[in-house]
Amino acid sequence: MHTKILVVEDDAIQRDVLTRMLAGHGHAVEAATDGLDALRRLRRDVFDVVVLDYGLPDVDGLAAAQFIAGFAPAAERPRLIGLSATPKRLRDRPGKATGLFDRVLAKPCPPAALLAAVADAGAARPQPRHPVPPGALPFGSHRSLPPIRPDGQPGPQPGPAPAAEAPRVLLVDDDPVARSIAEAALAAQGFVVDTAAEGLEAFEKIGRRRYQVVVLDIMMPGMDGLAAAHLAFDLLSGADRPRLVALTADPEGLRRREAGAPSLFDEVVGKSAELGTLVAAVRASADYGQRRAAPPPLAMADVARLAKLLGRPA
Amino acid sequence: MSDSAEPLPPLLDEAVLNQVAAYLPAAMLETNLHRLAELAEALLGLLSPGGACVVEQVHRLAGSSGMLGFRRLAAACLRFEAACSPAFPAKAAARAELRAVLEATLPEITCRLSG
Repeated sequence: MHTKILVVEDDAIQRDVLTRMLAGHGHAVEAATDGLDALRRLRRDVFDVVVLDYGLPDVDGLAAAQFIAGFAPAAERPRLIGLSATPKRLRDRPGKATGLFDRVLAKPCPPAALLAAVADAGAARPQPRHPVPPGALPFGSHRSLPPIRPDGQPGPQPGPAPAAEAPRVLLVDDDPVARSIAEAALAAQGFVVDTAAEGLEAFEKIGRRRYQVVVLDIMMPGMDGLAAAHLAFDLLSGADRPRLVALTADPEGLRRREAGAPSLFDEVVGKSAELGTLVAAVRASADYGQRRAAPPPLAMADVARLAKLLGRPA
Repeated sequence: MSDSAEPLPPLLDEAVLNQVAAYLPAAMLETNLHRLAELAEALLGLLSPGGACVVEQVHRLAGSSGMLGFRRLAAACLRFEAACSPAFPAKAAARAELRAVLEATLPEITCRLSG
């Protein structure tokens, strides 16, 4: 049985070997260089099987598998074969890897084992599917993200937009310290703040409600902030697409990664900057003209405690 | 400590910490300083000579310490992170710098916590 396969592998040599080997056995094979490339190809085309390296840059194999599993109905989901140099790492993450992959193979993978896994997975595909219509999200009848029509106009909204005076902000950062500080600062300035600890969780929230601004940490495990920004541009348009603010420990690193391309971010804020910089960037991004009062006054009990933390006499 | 001609950032940028303190309840600030100390201590334990590049932990610490105003630590973390790229020759120097800055920063955090 010939199967349509997407090979996702960042290492050029391994990608070439896998692609040629599978094509040599009569399968129709495409290759993607990273997780973001894979997700984009899966939006455009139908694959029976995805052979997914675990250690990918930008969107790693596990996050890509979670994205596919989260947004594609089971009957339309391609079969997933994971490739990992350390398969135990996948198995040791219960609740994340369990059930996502049809098979997980150790690298380097003997050709016979991969061919057998592909044959099993291809045979197990439930139904030939219809191609994903252009502009549909993300792999056919998605679970929650609002559809974008082929003309680029936004589809039906998931819910009413928040009141104009309280812009809704989604703050995405895996670091609880940075997240709690930024959340408190933005909430104190009158923003309605939701948080997410990773890119995938961010997309689940974006699918449920409209945000004026999404503040994205860049280096996050699974799906990094730059990949999430690319996906936001791919999946959302017009009023659906929030303005993006990067909040990063390494603004120069982000500029290097974006070199030569227009930035996807409206603002880039360094984590070492004063918090006012973040607040101003989010306010500017949200077109939040109304000036808010200073942070709320502190309770007296807080004053003494803060004085101690700041090294001052109370 | 750094090879560059740029001036060394302050161990603690009081203005940044003051702004954080203006937004956060004291208990939350205290919790975050504790978290920072734990991250810093854990990383210090991982930074053995010739040890692996613990990029994820270092990057997280860069962000956390920067947001709380510990700018020298944030800068040293970023330099170490860059040093973990295969093309960077001075990995040991960056590791030693990070160790030294961690050892200098931890008492400052503890001092804030103990008053």
